[in-house]
Amino acid sequence: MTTTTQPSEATVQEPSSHRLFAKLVRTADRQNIPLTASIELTQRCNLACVHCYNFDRSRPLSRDSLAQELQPSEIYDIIDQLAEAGCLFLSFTGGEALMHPHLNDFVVHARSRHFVVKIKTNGATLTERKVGQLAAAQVAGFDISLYGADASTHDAFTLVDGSFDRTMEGIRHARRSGIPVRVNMCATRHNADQIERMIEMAESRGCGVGVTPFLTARYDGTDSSLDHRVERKQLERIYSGPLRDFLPKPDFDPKRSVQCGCARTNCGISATGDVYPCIGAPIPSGNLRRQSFAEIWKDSPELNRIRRLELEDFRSCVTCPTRPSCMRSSGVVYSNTGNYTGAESFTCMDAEVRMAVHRERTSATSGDPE
Amino acid sequence: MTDAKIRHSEEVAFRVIDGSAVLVTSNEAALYWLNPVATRIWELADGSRRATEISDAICEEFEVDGERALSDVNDMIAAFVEKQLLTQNA
Repeated sequence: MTTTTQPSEATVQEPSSHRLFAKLVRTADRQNIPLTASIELTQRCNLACVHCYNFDRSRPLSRDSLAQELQPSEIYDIIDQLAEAGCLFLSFTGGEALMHPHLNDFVVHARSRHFVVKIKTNGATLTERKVGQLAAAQVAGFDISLYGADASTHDAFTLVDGSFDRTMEGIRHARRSGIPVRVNMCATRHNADQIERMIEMAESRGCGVGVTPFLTARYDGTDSSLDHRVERKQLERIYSGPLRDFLPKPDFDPKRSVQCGCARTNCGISATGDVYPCIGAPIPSGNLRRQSFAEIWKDSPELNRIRRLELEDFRSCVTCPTRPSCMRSSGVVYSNTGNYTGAESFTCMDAEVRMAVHRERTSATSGDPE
Repeated sequence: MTDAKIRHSEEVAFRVIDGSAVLVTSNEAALYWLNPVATRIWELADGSRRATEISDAICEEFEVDGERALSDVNDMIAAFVEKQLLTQNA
Protein backbone atom coordinates (compact mmCIF):
# COMPACT_ATOMS: atom_id res chain seq x y z
CA MET A 1 0.00 0.00 0.00
CA THR A 2 1.58 3.28 -1.00
CA THR A 3 1.54 6.31 1.19
CA THR A 4 -0.94 8.03 -1.09
CA THR A 5 -3.53 5.35 -0.48
CA GLN A 6 -3.27 4.92 3.28
CA PRO A 7 -6.74 4.76 4.79
CA SER A 8 -5.35 6.71 7.72
CA GLU A 9 -4.86 9.62 5.37
CA ALA A 10 -8.37 9.35 4.15
CA THR A 11 -10.27 11.81 6.21
CA VAL A 12 -10.25 15.52 6.48
CA GLN A 13 -12.69 17.11 8.84
CA GLU A 14 -13.67 20.46 10.22
CA PRO A 15 -12.33 23.15 10.34
CA SER A 16 -11.34 22.59 6.73
CA SER A 17 -14.83 21.59 5.57
CA HIS A 18 -15.38 24.92 3.84
CA ARG A 19 -12.25 24.31 1.79
CA LEU A 20 -13.35 20.75 1.07
CA PHE A 21 -16.80 21.90 0.05
CA ALA A 22 -15.27 24.39 -2.38
CA LYS A 23 -13.15 21.55 -3.78
CA LEU A 24 -16.27 19.40 -4.10
CA VAL A 25 -18.07 22.13 -6.04
CA ARG A 26 -15.05 22.64 -8.32
CA THR A 27 -14.90 18.91 -9.01
CA ALA A 28 -18.62 18.78 -9.73
CA ASP A 29 -18.28 21.84 -11.96
CA ARG A 30 -15.44 20.28 -13.96
CA GLN A 31 -17.39 17.09 -14.47
CA ASN A 32 -20.87 18.56 -14.87
CA ILE A 33 -22.23 16.72 -11.87
CA PRO A 34 -25.55 18.09 -10.56
CA LEU A 35 -24.35 18.22 -6.98
CA THR A 36 -27.43 20.10 -5.79
CA ALA A 37 -31.01 19.79 -6.97
CA SER A 38 -34.40 21.11 -5.99
CA ILE A 39 -37.62 19.28 -6.70
CA GLU A 40 -40.87 21.23 -6.65
CA LEU A 41 -43.20 18.62 -5.21
CA THR A 42 -46.34 20.62 -5.86
CA GLN A 43 -47.52 24.13 -6.64
CA ARG A 44 -50.19 23.85 -3.97
CA CYS A 45 -49.68 26.18 -1.03
CA ASN A 46 -51.47 27.09 2.17
CA LEU A 47 -50.39 30.73 1.80
CA ALA A 48 -50.83 33.21 -1.05
CA CYS A 49 -47.62 35.27 -0.86
CA VAL A 50 -47.72 38.29 -3.12
CA HIS A 51 -44.17 37.68 -4.43
CA CYS A 52 -44.67 33.98 -5.24
CA TYR A 53 -42.79 33.04 -8.42
CA ASN A 54 -45.01 30.05 -9.28
CA PHE A 55 -48.15 31.90 -10.28
CA ASP A 56 -50.36 34.79 -9.24
CA ARG A 57 -51.94 33.36 -6.10
CA SER A 58 -54.79 35.84 -6.11
CA ARG A 59 -56.23 33.23 -8.46
CA PRO A 60 -56.62 29.56 -7.56
CA LEU A 61 -54.30 26.89 -8.92
CA SER A 62 -56.01 25.46 -11.96
CA ARG A 63 -57.26 21.87 -11.94
CA ASP A 64 -55.30 21.25 -15.12
CA SER A 65 -52.05 22.34 -13.48
CA LEU A 66 -52.76 20.18 -10.46
CA ALA A 67 -53.63 17.17 -12.62
CA GLN A 68 -50.31 17.46 -14.44
CA GLU A 69 -48.19 17.37 -11.30
CA LEU A 70 -45.74 14.52 -10.84
CA GLN A 71 -47.12 11.37 -9.24
CA PRO A 72 -45.35 9.87 -6.21
CA SER A 73 -43.99 6.98 -8.30
CA GLU A 74 -42.46 9.50 -10.69
CA ILE A 75 -40.88 11.44 -7.85
CA TYR A 76 -39.31 8.28 -6.38
CA ASP A 77 -37.88 7.52 -9.82
CA ILE A 78 -36.52 11.06 -10.22
CA ILE A 79 -34.82 10.79 -6.81
CA ASP A 80 -33.18 7.55 -7.99
CA GLN A 81 -32.07 9.16 -11.24
CA LEU A 82 -30.57 12.14 -9.41
CA ALA A 83 -28.63 9.80 -7.13
CA GLU A 84 -27.32 7.99 -10.18
CA ALA A 85 -26.22 11.33 -11.66
CA GLY A 86 -24.14 12.11 -8.55
CA CYS A 87 -26.47 14.58 -6.86
CA LEU A 88 -25.82 14.73 -3.11
CA PHE A 89 -27.76 17.73 -1.80
CA LEU A 90 -31.49 17.56 -2.44
CA SER A 91 -34.13 20.14 -1.52
CA PHE A 92 -37.85 19.55 -1.59
CA THR A 93 -39.76 22.72 -2.32
CA GLY A 94 -43.05 23.94 -3.73
CA GLY A 95 -45.52 25.55 -3.68
CA GLU A 96 -45.44 24.36 -0.13
CA ALA A 97 -43.58 21.07 0.21
CA LEU A 98 -45.38 20.25 3.47
CA MET A 99 -48.68 20.21 1.56
CA HIS A 100 -47.63 17.04 -0.24
CA PRO A 101 -49.11 14.01 1.53
CA HIS A 102 -46.09 11.85 0.61
CA LEU A 103 -43.36 14.27 1.70
CA ASN A 104 -42.23 12.06 4.55
CA ASP A 105 -41.98 9.05 2.22
CA PHE A 106 -39.92 11.09 -0.24
CA VAL A 107 -37.49 12.07 2.54
CA VAL A 108 -37.19 8.43 3.65
CA HIS A 109 -36.58 7.35 0.06
CA ALA A 110 -34.01 10.09 -0.57
CA ARG A 111 -32.17 9.19 2.62
CA SER A 112 -32.09 5.55 1.53
CA ARG A 113 -30.31 6.86 -1.56
CA HIS A 114 -27.86 8.67 0.74
CA PHE A 115 -28.86 12.29 0.01
CA VAL A 116 -28.54 15.26 2.32
CA VAL A 117 -32.22 16.28 2.34
CA LYS A 118 -33.57 19.72 3.15
CA ILE A 119 -37.07 21.14 2.98
CA LYS A 120 -37.92 24.65 1.87
CA THR A 121 -41.13 25.65 3.58
CA ASN A 122 -43.16 28.50 4.99
CA GLY A 123 -43.21 26.52 8.23
CA ALA A 124 -46.85 27.33 8.94
CA THR A 125 -47.90 23.68 9.05
CA LEU A 126 -44.76 22.45 10.75
CA THR A 127 -46.45 20.90 13.76
CA GLU A 128 -44.62 19.09 16.51
CA ARG A 129 -45.88 15.80 15.07
CA LYS A 130 -44.71 16.61 11.54
CA VAL A 131 -41.31 17.74 12.80
CA GLY A 132 -41.03 14.47 14.71
CA GLN A 133 -41.83 12.46 11.58
CA LEU A 134 -39.35 14.39 9.46
CA ALA A 135 -36.68 14.16 12.16
CA ALA A 136 -37.18 10.38 12.21
CA ALA A 137 -36.86 10.40 8.43
CA GLN A 138 -33.53 12.20 8.93
CA VAL A 139 -34.19 15.49 7.23
CA ALA A 140 -31.00 17.57 7.46
CA GLY A 141 -32.59 20.98 7.77
CA PHE A 142 -35.42 23.37 7.10
CA ASP A 143 -35.24 26.61 5.11
CA ILE A 144 -38.17 28.60 6.50
CA SER A 145 -39.42 31.83 4.96
CA LEU A 146 -40.22 34.85 7.12
CA TYR A 147 -41.66 38.07 5.69
CA GLY A 148 -41.93 40.37 8.67
CA ALA A 149 -41.03 40.86 12.31
CA ASP A 150 -44.66 41.01 13.32
CA ALA A 151 -47.94 39.38 12.40
CA SER A 152 -49.39 42.37 10.59
CA THR A 153 -46.44 42.69 8.18
CA HIS A 154 -45.94 38.96 7.60
CA ASP A 155 -49.64 38.16 7.24
CA ALA A 156 -50.23 41.10 4.87
CA PHE A 157 -47.55 39.58 2.63
CA THR A 158 -48.77 35.97 2.81
CA LEU A 159 -52.43 37.09 2.63
CA VAL A 160 -53.29 34.58 5.35
CA ASP A 161 -54.19 35.74 8.85
CA GLY A 162 -52.39 33.85 11.58
CA SER A 163 -49.56 32.65 9.30
CA PHE A 164 -46.90 34.59 11.24
CA ASP A 165 -47.80 32.91 14.50
CA ARG A 166 -47.89 29.49 12.87
CA THR A 167 -44.53 30.02 11.13
CA MET A 168 -42.90 31.11 14.37
CA GLU A 169 -44.43 28.06 16.03
CA GLY A 170 -43.03 25.87 13.25
CA ILE A 171 -39.57 27.35 13.78
CA ARG A 172 -39.89 26.62 17.50
CA HIS A 173 -40.87 22.99 16.90
CA ALA A 174 -38.01 22.50 14.44
CA ARG A 175 -35.41 23.98 16.76
CA ARG A 176 -36.71 22.02 19.73
CA SER A 177 -36.13 18.83 17.74
CA GLY A 178 -32.56 19.88 17.06
CA ILE A 179 -33.01 20.10 13.29
CA PRO A 180 -31.03 23.02 11.84
CA VAL A 181 -33.17 25.88 10.56
CA ARG A 182 -32.22 28.69 8.26
CA VAL A 183 -34.69 31.56 8.23
CA ASN A 184 -34.86 33.01 4.73
CA MET A 185 -35.99 36.60 4.42
CA CYS A 186 -36.94 38.53 1.33
CA ALA A 187 -36.24 42.18 2.03
CA THR A 188 -39.23 44.00 0.56
CA ARG A 189 -40.59 47.53 0.66
CA HIS A 190 -42.96 46.34 3.39
CA ASN A 191 -40.43 44.89 5.83
CA ALA A 192 -37.25 46.83 5.02
CA ASP A 193 -37.27 48.56 8.39
CA GLN A 194 -37.80 45.25 10.20
CA ILE A 195 -34.85 43.30 8.84
CA GLU A 196 -32.71 43.90 11.91
CA ARG A 197 -35.46 42.63 14.20
CA MET A 198 -36.11 39.67 11.92
CA ILE A 199 -32.43 38.70 12.05
CA GLU A 200 -32.46 39.02 15.84
CA MET A 201 -35.59 36.86 16.03
CA ALA A 202 -33.95 34.15 13.95
CA GLU A 203 -30.57 34.23 15.65
CA SER A 204 -32.06 34.30 19.15
CA ARG A 205 -33.80 31.03 18.26
CA GLY A 206 -30.58 29.41 17.12
CA CYS A 207 -31.36 29.69 13.41
CA GLY A 208 -29.15 30.61 10.50
CA VAL A 209 -30.17 33.60 8.41
CA GLY A 210 -30.44 34.31 4.70
CA VAL A 211 -31.54 37.69 3.36
CA THR A 212 -32.17 38.57 -0.27
CA PRO A 213 -33.69 41.64 -1.90
CA PHE A 214 -34.20 39.85 -5.22
CA LEU A 215 -37.73 39.05 -6.36
CA THR A 216 -38.69 37.57 -9.68
CA ALA A 217 -41.51 37.57 -12.19
CA ARG A 218 -43.67 34.46 -12.22
CA TYR A 219 -43.74 31.22 -14.21
CA ASP A 220 -47.20 32.29 -15.45
CA GLY A 221 -45.81 35.44 -17.07
CA THR A 222 -47.28 37.89 -14.55
CA ASP A 223 -44.91 40.26 -12.77
CA SER A 224 -46.86 42.06 -10.07
CA SER A 225 -44.52 40.22 -7.67
CA LEU A 226 -41.89 42.82 -8.61
CA ASP A 227 -44.05 45.65 -7.22
CA HIS A 228 -42.95 44.59 -3.75
CA ARG A 229 -39.22 45.03 -4.30
CA VAL A 230 -37.34 47.16 -1.83
CA GLU A 231 -36.63 50.77 -2.82
CA ARG A 232 -33.12 52.17 -3.22
CA LYS A 233 -33.20 54.25 -0.04
CA GLN A 234 -34.38 51.23 1.90
CA LEU A 235 -31.64 49.10 0.40
CA GLU A 236 -29.03 51.70 1.39
CA ARG A 237 -30.31 51.59 4.97
CA ILE A 238 -30.29 47.77 5.04
CA TYR A 239 -26.76 47.45 3.65
CA SER A 240 -25.42 50.18 5.91
CA GLY A 241 -27.27 48.78 8.90
CA PRO A 242 -28.40 45.26 9.66
CA LEU A 243 -26.56 43.61 6.78
CA ARG A 244 -23.31 45.53 7.12
CA ASP A 245 -21.51 42.53 8.59
CA PHE A 246 -22.95 40.11 6.02
CA LEU A 247 -21.89 41.96 2.86
CA PRO A 248 -19.08 40.22 1.03
CA LYS A 249 -16.12 42.41 0.13
CA PRO A 250 -16.01 43.49 -3.50
CA ASP A 251 -13.97 41.18 -5.71
CA PHE A 252 -11.91 43.24 -8.14
CA ASP A 253 -10.55 40.24 -10.07
CA PRO A 254 -11.34 41.08 -13.74
CA LYS A 255 -11.69 37.35 -14.47
CA ARG A 256 -14.28 36.90 -11.75
CA SER A 257 -17.16 34.91 -13.19
CA VAL A 258 -20.61 36.43 -13.35
CA GLN A 259 -22.11 32.97 -13.56
CA CYS A 260 -23.45 30.67 -10.90
CA GLY A 261 -23.91 26.91 -10.67
CA CYS A 262 -26.87 26.87 -13.09
CA ALA A 263 -26.71 23.78 -15.34
CA ARG A 264 -23.23 23.01 -14.04
CA THR A 265 -23.55 21.88 -10.45
CA ASN A 266 -27.18 22.71 -9.92
CA CYS A 267 -30.55 21.92 -11.41
CA GLY A 268 -34.23 22.32 -10.67
CA ILE A 269 -37.20 20.10 -11.40
CA SER A 270 -40.67 21.57 -11.68
CA ALA A 271 -43.85 20.05 -10.29
CA THR A 272 -44.66 18.81 -13.78
CA GLY A 273 -41.25 17.26 -14.47
CA ASP A 274 -39.57 20.06 -16.41
CA VAL A 275 -35.82 20.20 -15.83
CA TYR A 276 -34.44 23.69 -15.28
CA PRO A 277 -30.83 24.90 -15.01
CA CYS A 278 -31.82 25.97 -11.49
CA ILE A 279 -35.15 26.17 -9.72
CA GLY A 280 -34.70 29.96 -9.92
CA ALA A 281 -33.99 29.90 -13.66
CA PRO A 282 -37.15 28.40 -15.16
CA ILE A 283 -35.81 27.63 -18.64
CA PRO A 284 -37.52 24.40 -19.76
CA SER A 285 -34.66 22.13 -20.79
CA GLY A 286 -36.47 18.82 -21.14
CA ASN A 287 -39.21 16.91 -19.38
CA LEU A 288 -38.72 13.81 -17.27
CA ARG A 289 -41.88 12.23 -18.63
CA ARG A 290 -40.31 12.10 -22.07
CA GLN A 291 -36.60 11.66 -21.35
CA SER A 292 -34.39 10.38 -18.58
CA PHE A 293 -32.62 12.86 -16.34
CA ALA A 294 -29.25 11.65 -17.65
CA GLU A 295 -30.28 12.32 -21.25
CA ILE A 296 -31.58 15.79 -20.47
CA TRP A 297 -28.59 16.70 -18.29
CA LYS A 298 -26.13 15.60 -20.97
CA ASP A 299 -27.89 16.54 -24.21
CA SER A 300 -30.27 19.42 -23.53
CA PRO A 301 -29.43 22.28 -25.93
CA GLU A 302 -30.57 24.79 -23.31
CA LEU A 303 -28.30 23.40 -20.59
CA ASN A 304 -25.36 23.03 -22.96
CA ARG A 305 -25.82 26.57 -24.20
CA ILE A 306 -25.48 27.82 -20.62
CA ARG A 307 -22.41 25.64 -20.05
CA ARG A 308 -20.70 27.11 -23.10
CA LEU A 309 -21.16 30.71 -21.99
CA GLU A 310 -17.97 32.67 -21.45
CA LEU A 311 -17.46 35.81 -19.43
CA GLU A 312 -17.50 37.88 -22.64
CA ASP A 313 -21.01 36.66 -23.44
CA PHE A 314 -22.30 38.73 -20.52
CA ARG A 315 -21.53 41.88 -22.48
CA SER A 316 -23.32 44.42 -20.35
CA CYS A 317 -21.70 43.05 -17.19
CA VAL A 318 -18.08 42.55 -18.28
CA THR A 319 -17.12 46.23 -18.20
CA CYS A 320 -19.60 47.34 -15.56
CA PRO A 321 -17.86 49.35 -12.81
CA THR A 322 -20.05 47.81 -10.11
CA ARG A 323 -19.25 44.22 -11.12
CA PRO A 324 -16.93 43.71 -8.12
CA SER A 325 -19.97 44.06 -5.84
CA CYS A 326 -22.55 42.51 -8.13
CA MET A 327 -24.53 39.53 -6.84
CA ARG A 328 -25.97 38.82 -10.26
CA SER A 329 -28.18 35.74 -10.46
CA SER A 330 -28.75 34.64 -14.03
CA GLY A 331 -32.03 33.08 -12.91
CA VAL A 332 -33.30 36.40 -11.57
CA VAL A 333 -32.11 38.22 -14.69
CA TYR A 334 -33.73 35.64 -16.96
CA SER A 335 -36.99 35.62 -15.01
CA ASN A 336 -37.27 39.39 -15.06
CA THR A 337 -35.96 40.19 -18.54
CA GLY A 338 -36.07 36.97 -20.57
CA ASN A 339 -32.36 37.41 -21.32
CA TYR A 340 -30.11 35.01 -19.39
CA THR A 341 -26.91 36.91 -20.21
CA GLY A 342 -28.32 40.42 -19.97
CA ALA A 343 -28.48 42.99 -17.21
CA GLU A 344 -31.42 43.69 -14.94
CA SER A 345 -32.04 47.14 -13.50
CA PHE A 346 -32.71 46.04 -9.92
CA THR A 347 -29.59 43.84 -9.83
CA CYS A 348 -27.54 46.78 -11.16
CA MET A 349 -29.03 49.09 -8.55
CA ASP A 350 -28.26 46.54 -5.84
CA ALA A 351 -24.62 46.35 -6.98
CA GLU A 352 -24.34 50.16 -7.03
CA VAL A 353 -25.61 50.37 -3.48
CA ARG A 354 -23.30 47.60 -2.28
CA MET A 355 -20.33 49.32 -3.93
CA ALA A 356 -21.25 52.69 -2.44
CA VAL A 357 -21.66 51.23 1.04
CA HIS A 358 -18.31 49.47 0.75
CA ARG A 359 -16.63 52.73 -0.36
CA GLU A 360 -18.15 54.65 2.52
CA ARG A 361 -17.09 52.07 5.05
CA THR A 362 -13.58 51.79 3.64
CA SER A 363 -13.01 55.51 3.45
CA ALA A 364 -14.35 55.93 6.97
CA THR A 365 -11.82 53.47 8.33
CA SER A 366 -8.78 54.12 6.14
CA GLY A 367 -9.36 57.23 4.13
CA ASP A 368 -8.85 55.13 1.00
CA PRO A 369 -11.98 54.28 -0.98
CA GLU A 370 -10.56 50.97 -2.24
CA MET B 1 -14.02 -5.87 15.73
CA THR B 2 -13.26 -8.70 13.29
CA ASP B 3 -16.51 -10.58 14.12
CA ALA B 4 -18.82 -7.69 13.42
CA LYS B 5 -20.25 -6.78 10.08
CA ILE B 6 -19.54 -3.20 9.17
CA ARG B 7 -22.09 -0.87 7.66
CA HIS B 8 -22.64 2.78 6.96
CA SER B 9 -24.26 4.77 9.71
CA GLU B 10 -27.83 5.69 8.90
CA GLU B 11 -27.02 9.31 9.66
CA VAL B 12 -24.40 9.81 6.99
CA ALA B 13 -25.05 11.00 3.43
CA PHE B 14 -22.55 10.13 0.75
CA ARG B 15 -21.78 9.93 -2.92
CA VAL B 16 -18.80 8.66 -4.89
CA ILE B 17 -17.66 11.55 -7.06
CA ASP B 18 -14.73 11.32 -9.43
CA GLY B 19 -13.67 8.06 -7.78
CA SER B 20 -13.67 9.45 -4.26
CA ALA B 21 -16.34 9.04 -1.64
CA VAL B 22 -17.65 12.27 -0.17
CA LEU B 23 -19.34 11.83 3.20
CA VAL B 24 -21.53 14.44 4.89
CA THR B 25 -22.84 14.09 8.41
CA SER B 26 -26.58 14.49 8.74
CA ASN B 27 -26.36 17.96 10.25
CA GLU B 28 -23.75 18.96 7.64
CA ALA B 29 -21.32 19.72 10.46
CA ALA B 30 -18.52 17.80 8.77
CA LEU B 31 -17.50 16.82 5.29
CA TYR B 32 -15.09 13.98 4.59
CA TRP B 33 -13.30 13.31 1.35
CA LEU B 34 -11.83 9.83 1.05
CA ASN B 35 -8.87 8.70 -0.99
CA PRO B 36 -9.27 5.74 -3.40
CA VAL B 37 -8.45 2.97 -0.93
CA ALA B 38 -10.60 4.47 1.79
CA THR B 39 -13.35 4.91 -0.79
CA ARG B 40 -13.14 1.21 -1.62
CA ILE B 41 -13.24 0.29 2.07
CA TRP B 42 -16.29 2.54 2.41
CA GLU B 43 -18.02 0.83 -0.52
CA LEU B 44 -17.27 -2.61 0.91
CA ALA B 45 -18.64 -1.63 4.33
CA ASP B 46 -22.22 -2.16 3.17
CA GLY B 47 -23.32 -4.37 6.05
CA SER B 48 -22.49 -7.65 4.36
CA ARG B 49 -18.82 -7.95 5.35
CA ARG B 50 -16.62 -8.16 8.40
CA ALA B 51 -13.36 -6.18 8.72
CA THR B 52 -11.37 -9.27 7.77
CA GLU B 53 -13.44 -9.72 4.61
CA ILE B 54 -13.01 -6.08 3.69
CA SER B 55 -9.29 -6.41 4.31
CA ASP B 56 -9.11 -9.51 2.09
CA ALA B 57 -10.80 -7.62 -0.73
CA ILE B 58 -8.42 -4.67 -0.32
CA CYS B 59 -5.42 -7.04 -0.38
CA GLU B 60 -6.62 -8.57 -3.61
CA GLU B 61 -7.64 -5.38 -5.38
CA PHE B 62 -4.66 -3.24 -4.36
CA GLU B 63 -2.03 -6.01 -4.09
CA VAL B 64 -0.92 -5.08 -0.59
CA ASP B 65 0.40 -7.03 2.38
CA GLY B 66 -2.42 -8.74 4.35
CA GLU B 67 -1.28 -7.78 7.82
CA ARG B 68 -0.80 -4.15 6.87
CA ALA B 69 -4.14 -4.04 5.08
CA LEU B 70 -6.01 -5.48 8.06
CA SER B 71 -4.33 -3.02 10.38
CA ASP B 72 -5.26 -0.06 8.17
CA VAL B 73 -8.80 -1.31 7.66
CA ASN B 74 -9.23 -1.74 11.41
CA ASP B 75 -7.80 1.72 12.03
CA MET B 76 -10.18 3.31 9.55
CA ILE B 77 -13.18 1.41 10.89
CA ALA B 78 -12.32 2.38 14.48
CA ALA B 79 -11.93 6.03 13.50
CA PHE B 80 -15.14 6.05 11.50
CA VAL B 81 -17.12 4.25 14.20
CA GLU B 82 -15.95 6.88 16.67
CA LYS B 83 -17.13 9.59 14.29
CA GLN B 84 -20.44 7.71 13.87
CA LEU B 85 -19.88 7.27 10.15
CA LEU B 86 -19.78 3.47 10.38
CA THR B 87 -21.50 1.04 12.73
CA GLN B 88 -20.79 -2.58 13.60
CA ASN B 89 -23.41 -5.30 13.64
CA ALA B 90 -22.77 -8.30 15.85
